[in-house]
Formats: sequence, C-alpha cells, structure tokens
Amino acid sequence: MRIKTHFRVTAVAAAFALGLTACGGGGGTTDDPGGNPSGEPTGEPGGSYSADLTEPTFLAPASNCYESECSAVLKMVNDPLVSTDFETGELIFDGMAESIEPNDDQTVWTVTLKEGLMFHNGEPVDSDAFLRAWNYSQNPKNAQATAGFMARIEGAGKGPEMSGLKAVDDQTFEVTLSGPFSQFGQQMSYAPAFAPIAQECIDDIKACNESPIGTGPYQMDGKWMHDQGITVTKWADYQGELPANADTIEFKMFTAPTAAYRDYQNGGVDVLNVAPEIYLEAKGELADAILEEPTASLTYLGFPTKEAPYDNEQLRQAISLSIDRELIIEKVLNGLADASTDIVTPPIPGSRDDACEFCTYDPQRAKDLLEESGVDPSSFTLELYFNADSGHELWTEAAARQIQENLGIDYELKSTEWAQYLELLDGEEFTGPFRLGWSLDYPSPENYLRPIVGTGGDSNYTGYSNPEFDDLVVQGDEAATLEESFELYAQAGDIALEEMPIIPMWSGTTAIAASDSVGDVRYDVGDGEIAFGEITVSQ
Amino acid sequence: MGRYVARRLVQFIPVILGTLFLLHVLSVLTIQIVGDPVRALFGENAPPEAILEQLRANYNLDDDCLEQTGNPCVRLFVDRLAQYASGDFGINFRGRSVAELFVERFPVTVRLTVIALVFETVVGIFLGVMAGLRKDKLVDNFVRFSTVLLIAFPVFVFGTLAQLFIGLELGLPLRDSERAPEWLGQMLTVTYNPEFPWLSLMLPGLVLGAFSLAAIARLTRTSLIENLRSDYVRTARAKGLTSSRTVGVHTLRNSLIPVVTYIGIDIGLLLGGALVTEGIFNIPGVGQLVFLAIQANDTPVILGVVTILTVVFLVANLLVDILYAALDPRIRYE
Amino acid sequence: MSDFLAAQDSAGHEHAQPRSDQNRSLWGDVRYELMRNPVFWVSSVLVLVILSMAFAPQLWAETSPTARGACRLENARVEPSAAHPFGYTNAGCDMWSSLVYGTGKSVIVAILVTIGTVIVGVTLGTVAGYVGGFADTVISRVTDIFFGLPFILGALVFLAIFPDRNVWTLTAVLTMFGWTSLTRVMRGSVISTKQKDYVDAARALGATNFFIIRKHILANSIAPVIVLATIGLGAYISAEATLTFLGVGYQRPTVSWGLLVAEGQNLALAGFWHLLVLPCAFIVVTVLSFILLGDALRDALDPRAR
Repeated sequence: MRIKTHFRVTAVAAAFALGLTACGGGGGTTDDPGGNPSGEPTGEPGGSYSADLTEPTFLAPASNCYESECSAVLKMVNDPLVSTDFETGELIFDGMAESIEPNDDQTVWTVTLKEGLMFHNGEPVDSDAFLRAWNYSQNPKNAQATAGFMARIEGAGKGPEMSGLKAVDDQTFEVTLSGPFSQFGQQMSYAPAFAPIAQECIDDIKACNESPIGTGPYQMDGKWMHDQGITVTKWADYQGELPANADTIEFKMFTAPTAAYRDYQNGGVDVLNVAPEIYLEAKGELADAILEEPTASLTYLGFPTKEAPYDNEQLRQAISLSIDRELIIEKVLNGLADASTDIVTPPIPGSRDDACEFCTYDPQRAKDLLEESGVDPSSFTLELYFNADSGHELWTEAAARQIQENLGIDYELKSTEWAQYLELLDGEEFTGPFRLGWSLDYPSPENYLRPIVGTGGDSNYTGYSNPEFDDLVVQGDEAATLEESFELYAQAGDIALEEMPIIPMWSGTTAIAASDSVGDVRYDVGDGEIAFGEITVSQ
Repeated sequence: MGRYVARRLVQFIPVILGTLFLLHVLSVLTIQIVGDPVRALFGENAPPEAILEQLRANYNLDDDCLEQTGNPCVRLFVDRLAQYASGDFGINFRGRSVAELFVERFPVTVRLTVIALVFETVVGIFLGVMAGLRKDKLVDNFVRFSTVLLIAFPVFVFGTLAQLFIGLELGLPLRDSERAPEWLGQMLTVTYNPEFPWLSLMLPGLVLGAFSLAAIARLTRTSLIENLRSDYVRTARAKGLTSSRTVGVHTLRNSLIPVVTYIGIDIGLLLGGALVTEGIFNIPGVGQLVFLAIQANDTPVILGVVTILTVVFLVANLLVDILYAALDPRIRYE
Repeated sequence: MSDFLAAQDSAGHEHAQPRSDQNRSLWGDVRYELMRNPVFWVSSVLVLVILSMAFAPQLWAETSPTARGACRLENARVEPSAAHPFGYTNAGCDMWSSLVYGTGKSVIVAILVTIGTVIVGVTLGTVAGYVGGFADTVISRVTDIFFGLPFILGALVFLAIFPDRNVWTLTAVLTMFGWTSLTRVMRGSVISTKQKDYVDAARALGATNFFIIRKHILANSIAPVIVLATIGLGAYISAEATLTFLGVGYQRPTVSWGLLVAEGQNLALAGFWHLLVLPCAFIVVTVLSFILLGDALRDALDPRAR
C-alpha cells in the first residue's frame, strides 16, 4: 500500500507508518491483466502521460531511497539486480543478474552479471559498479538509509570496504555473509538497496541526486524540479527486459491529495492515487472508473502482553470479538479494506481466509469471554494509542466505542506525534492497545509471523514470546517443499491467533483513477506501487 | 530622518537575535519533549544505530543537551549564529541547502503576496470608503455583511470552494474552449502552473487576500467615519471645499494610518502564513516549506527560513513607519 | 511620591463632579441609542443564545456526543430528515448535539483570546505610543520578535509541544501570537491622537498624563482596536478550525466546530453537504452576531456620532 503524503503527515513518517512499504520483491511478471478502469488502450508503446507523486526524499544514491515515492521513480530509472515471483517466491532473472548461486551452507553467494550492460552515461555495469555502490552504502559515514540491507554481509558497517565483498572478474562477484541466510537472493530483489552506482555519480553525488544516472528503461529528462515534477523518457539504448510502454512519464508533485485530485479533474494528471480523504468524492464522480486492488499491508492493534490486565488471554480475545470490523470498514474506511482473517494478508501466498476464530464480530461471545476472564471491566480504562494526524483518529475511536458498548470498558484515546510514538514503541512503554501496520519485505507468511509476533521480532512490541510458535516458524523455514512450509507456518499462525498478542484488523485496498487517455493500469502488490512502465497511452 | 533610519537598522540586531533565540528554544523543546526527529525519519524498524548517529551529526542534532528537557542548549545556539554569520544556513533532512530551498521558493511567495496585497489594499480601501461615506446606507450594509462572511469562513473552506467552483467549474470550460483567451482560463486556476507564474497565482492570491480585505475595508470605514466628524473636516466644508476634495485630501489621508499599520503587519503574515492556501493550490511557497519542516522538526529549515523572513518583515515595517511620516507630517522622528 | 499622589488625587477631585454628570447622560444616551437599534436587539439575542450554548449546553441538547453510547457508527453521515432535521456526523453522532456541545470549545477560546489580546494590546500600545522613547523602542522591538514568527506557524510549533490540547492551551497559544497586531495598531493610533490639539490643550491646562490618557487618548484611539478585536473574535473561531484542519487543534473525541468543519470539508463534496454547511452556518451566525453587536455598541458609545 502506498501512503500518500499530505498536509498533516510527515512525508517520511507516513511512508513508514505501515512498515517498509517500498520493500517489495521485484514482481512485475505476474500475468494479471489488472484493471483497465477507463479508456481504450492501444497496448502500443509510445505517447506520454502524467501521474501524481509526493516529493521524494532522495533519488541518488539509490541506497538512500527508503520510501515509496523515490522507489516509484527509481523503478523506472534503475533495473533491479533480480526479481522475486510473487506467487511462488522463486527468483526471476529479469534484471541485471545472469545467475545468483549460493554455496551449500548459503553463506557465500556468487552473482554473475549479464554481458554488455551500461549505465545511461555509457559506463559499463560491471562488478566494480556493484562493489562501489554496496561499499558506499554500508559505510556508516555515508549514513545511507538502507544500509541495514548490507548488515548480513561480512565486515559490513566497519569501514570503507566490506571484507565479504570480492570481485571475481568483470562480470562476477562473490558475497560472503556472516552467517547462513537462505533468503538473501529474495532480499536482493529490493532494487534501491542493491543497485550499482556509476563512477560519475559517486564522484558528484549532489549532481547525481538532481539527475540520477541509472540502468533502467527510462532516463531522467532534465533535472529533478523540486516540489514541481520529475520527467523520465525512454532510454533508446535499453537492453533489459522491463516493460516501458509510454515514451515519457511526467511525475507531478503534490503536497495535498485534494490538490492532486482537482488537477486530475482538470485534466492535468492521467494516473492518480486516490487518497482516502477524497475517495468518497472521487467514487461518486468516477464510479467504476476507479481501480481498487488489495494491498499486502496489515493494520493491527498490539497489546502490551506483560501489563495487567492485558496479560489475560481471554480479555484480549474478548476485545477482538467486540470490534465490528465490517462496520468500521464500511463506514469509516469507505470499503477500502478487507477484514482480517489471518495475520498474513490475502495477496501473500500461504495466507488463509478462515484462520482467525476471534476476528468475527460476536458481542455475546465477547461478553461471555470477559466474564470468564475474571477481569472487572470497570476496574480500568482502556488506553488506545495511535500516531496523530495520519488518518487513524476515526477508526480507533470507532473501535474504542464498540469495545465500550459491548464490554463496558471505558476508553481514552492517546495520540502522539510520530517521533514520540516511536519512543514509546522502542521502550515498550504502552499501557494499552496500540495501532501498528506492517507490509511485506518479501512474499512469505514467515515475513509477517516472525517480525510481528516472533520472540524478539523486528516489529514485535508486545513483549509476546512463545517458544512453541518460534519453533514452528523455524521448522517452516527448513521444510523441503513450499507446501510443507506453508502448513507449518499456518500452525504457528494458529497459536498466535489463539493467544492474540495482536488483533489483526484488516488488510488495505488501494484506489487508482486513470484518465481516458491511458490503459493497462495495474497495481503491483510486491512494489506497493502502480506499475508505471506497463501503462499504455492511446494515441 | 536619516538618523532615525540608522537607529532602526541598529535595532534590527537584537530583534533578529531575539527571534532566533525564541525559535531555537522552541525547536529544542520540541526535540526534547516530542522526541528525536532523526529517528522519526524512519519507521518502526530503525536503521542501524551507527547510521542514526551519523545522521544526527550531519544535522547538528547530536548534542547531549537535546536529551535534557528544559536545557536551552545555548552552545548549539551560539554555534548556529556563527554558522549563519558566515552565510551558511545549513542543509535540510534531504541534504539540500536551506538557502537554495529558500531562493527556489521565495519568488513564488513574493508573487503571491504582491497579488494578495494589491487586491486587499485596492479593493479593501475602496469598499471601506464607499461604506464610510454612505454610513447605514445599502452599500454600507452590504460591505459590513459581506466582510463578515469573509472573516467567518475558515480559509481552507473558502479556498476549496473557490478552487472547485471558480477554478474548475468555471475555468475548465474556458481552458478547453478555443474562443476564450488563454490568460483568462489560466487565471481561473485549479493548481499552480509554473508556466504561468503570475496568472495561475491570481485566484490563490484573491483567496489569500480575502481575510485582510475584510479587515482593511472595516478599518477604513470606521476610521473614515471618525475623521469625517472631526473639526478640520467641518472647517473644510465650511470653507466651501467640495466633498470629494474633503474626503480625498483631508480625511482619507488621516484615516489611512491604522490601515497602513495593518498592511505592514499583514506583509509578514502573508509571506509566511500562506501555508493553507499554498496547500490547496499546490503552490511551492515558503509557507509550505516551513510547515512541512515543522512537521518533521527539520530545525535547520525552520530557523534558516524564518530568520530570512524576519529580516524581510523588519524592513517592510521600517518602510511603513517612514510612510507614517508622509501620511501625518506631525509625527516627528526625534 | 506623596506629592505625586496628592496631585493625582486633586486632579481626580477636580473632575469628579462634572464627570459623573456626564456619565449619567452618556449612559442614558447609550441606552436610548441601543434601544431603538434593531441590529442591537437581534445580535444581542443571538449572542445570548450562543453564550448559553457555550456555558450550559445541556439546556439545548439532552445528551453530549461524548457520552457512552451516544454515537452509533451505523448512523454515520445520515442526512437530515424530518425526524432528524440536523442529521448525523461522520462518526454517527447527532449533529445538533455535536454543534451545541462544540460551541463552548470554539466560542470560549475566541472570547478569552479576544479579551486577553485587547488588554495586552491596549496597555502596551498606549504606553509605547504615548510615552515613546525607550519604552516605545523596547515594546516595538519585542512585538517585532513575535511578528517574526508568523502567527499560524508559531501556533503550530507551540501546539506540537503541548500534546494535551484543551481550551487553555489553545487560548494561551492564540493569545501569545495575537496580541502583537493590536499593540501595533493601538500604538499607531495613539501616536496620531497624541498630536491632536485637544491633547495639547489639556496638557497646557495642567492635566496629568494619566488623565489625558484616560480621558482623551483612549477614547479617541480605541476605534481601530475595537474593529480589529471584533474581527479577531470571528477570526479566532475560524482559526480554531484551521488549526484543527492542520492537525494541531482539538483532537477527537472532543467535539468542536473546527473539528466538524475540518471533517465536513472533504465529505461535503462527496455529497454530504450537511456536514459542512451546518457547522459553517453556526460559525457564520456567531461571527456575524458578535461583530454586529460590536458595531452597534461602538456606534452608541461614540459621543460624536450624535
């Protein structure tokens, strides 16, 4: 899910409010015809169109790109090293890599590049271009935002060069990890973090940021016009496989989603991300012309499972049962979400549509469970936390009202600035349920279960820890077939959905409007972005 | 007069220092109370601590005092002053020079301010004079009522309605039409268009100036009514001067003193305070720049830009004070 | 010291008798003027209604929208009907009771801020304008410092620091950044009044500064301040809405007009006009009543108008 930045939202905080939204596996190969919300596409290359965008943070080096705005642009300008198939989780070599081979214990990975690759400026894309980029990125002195992606490589974060990164020849380089990691290939499909860099770019990073030198199907047309627009045009010498239909794409910058929509109405924008603020109005006007696609983002409420009374499992179940997700989705989110049935969201392979017993609204059962739990509803006030000004006010309040009505627990809404929210998170200082979101790094149930509820998971702020659960996830990692691993992940998921350290609320839906002059508009779940390169222009 | 101007210029120094210190304390307090802005650049999953430390160092946010709530961080303030004195306004969280950002956006804001200012002054004074001369007549009641509407509607409602009904409903057919002149369609804009740097700021400028227009019209009206009753007007009338000359030369000049004061104040408000209008019409102006910086607690931008704005404001007010002397020769600058 | 007091005292005595006479007739005139002014009647009745809503909302609506079970999500955005002439808000609360209970949050802040800024503005403006010299320099430059920070931006920074936004924090912030314009205008006005012949005459007759300020300066310089203050009262009501719109005003589940307008703004264009029109109508009627009442009072109080 792409989060539009606007008036009230810090650009970066918003991009991250639901996790690393941009860190998708490459994707782009699924044969989904997607929507063709309006217009008569010719399917032919050529022409030009415009799309709305919020000002990106950085364009170069690519390793400084950590939000969906810059990755939308960079995906046009840079080829990925490799992509991940969203259905199967297998690698697809549609990028710069000819092959990626791990050794037996998955600690040493050999990357072989395709022949004859070039940067837009004519420099060759060889092993040195990757070594240059990765070494630059991992060096803490350069403070690159995605440096964390290099952390598994031997010697990362210690100096100007990593000991684990060696060029074998011009086309081949070897990556030594500090420990075995079977998903390293999938991880490398997050293109910005693993992109090569041209010598010209690294020599003058400031200039390169204004006009990035990439390897992809499009190149910059002129400079980055800050806060106004970025235009990319097809690169005539492109040898790669990524689709590039339109000759020119103009990204127009908006700070407020309403302004972007008015410009769409005015004919100034062809492809528009319809923000929640304007969804109802746009829906009323454009009706079926709006393309609605499920995203992989999960919204949930976490419990401080070590704090009384939230250490009581039945109370957590009762709270989950007392929330009418469907009603909130209909009235507050205007239908732009799907009520959760699992911690893993529907687009992810291995997700289930009937896993969550306590996610369906059942006020009577909620009351019974509350009684069983022995917690006195009048003995405490439910303090519900969320980060302010990011559109969470209404639904958190609605959920709190339902809990109050069905369980008799009084509530207090606690909203804080994003910076403060992070401090509370990092210190695990919440005294009541808190809102969080998650989106995928790579398409696997494991990528939801382990970080959110696994012991010491990257995004586990609940204090929850269950060895049995952790064990099942590890078994899933090691399973011989995908089917077996999904089965084991499902068993782990069942434990978490029974004990409920978090309440899954819903998975998101994105809405896209497209004008009559464009076709083949598709939302790429893996990228969390519209597949801009595939869009065709009717001429 | 020369000495007066010189003295005022000298007084700029403590004012700028005071403004900077006030801002500095506010931003330091925000960091201390709300939390680390560098950490907030990222999501739940922070990058490695070494990266955060380097970023804090890059943005001069690595001082320990920022963790001690209530500590004014005087040393940071002194460092920053030294930096400004050397002409370096620092970089923002996106690595761009603050001075460059300002230079990029300031012309847009100046154009918007000029449009708003001309509009509110000309129309505001005109309406005020019409109402003042015909007190309690139809014109007066119309002016009094319509100005209340301008005051009562929050600017974001007013701006959105103008954008929708004037910019889109009225403007779009004109832009599409072959017969209508291009300038007319571009003037009734939906969003700012850099290809028409003045025309596409007309509608936002009118929206921005609407509130002050109401204030100026009301101030002029009241002031004029008061002065029309004063002795010198009666004397002038008695002398047989025509009504228009009485109003023009004798009364209006005196009545404009509070109006001029207000306009002087308004310049400052318009330059930095247009953020809502800028947001609605997607104008890359200074107000939006500072607003987004406040949201991200991007201290270098807040301080750098507001410092420059303050200087502009102070100069504008000095000019206003000199204008006083022209309007009322009895005001002496000792 | 005692001489000074005595002088003041005698000055007071000297004028005590005639002034009280004058006052009685002045107030009599004022009352007469007001009684025959229909604008005064209409606006003051409206102001009374608004004030009673602000201070005693339970007189006008039975249940507060923040009460338990008062809002039902099923009713979200239900449009006005004969049975329910005001419809429901975006959160499914009764619109009428939301408007009534939101009055206080919006109007009380505006009144407090107006009173605060007028007191500070008139005092400092008069001192700066009348005394001049060093006092003027200090006051004017401090005003400049606060001016350097544009009003809405200053409010944004401050409110970001205070996570708990209530009537008092909003009042404090709006006052802190609102007093400057009144001070500046008052100062300018006082400077021009100071030069008037009747002030010179009074001074020649031996009147004390205190007397001159009270008797001549204040009365003749206050008009623009009153205009700006009544405008300000309206402006502060919509400022609350703008701050809320920018995310630094009141926060749900509090109810205020600003919250309703900010919420209704996007939804109105989606066809739910009542969500914007009704709260805006309340704001417009309130602002109009206060400004018209201010106009009527000022006209009646101005002795030269007769």
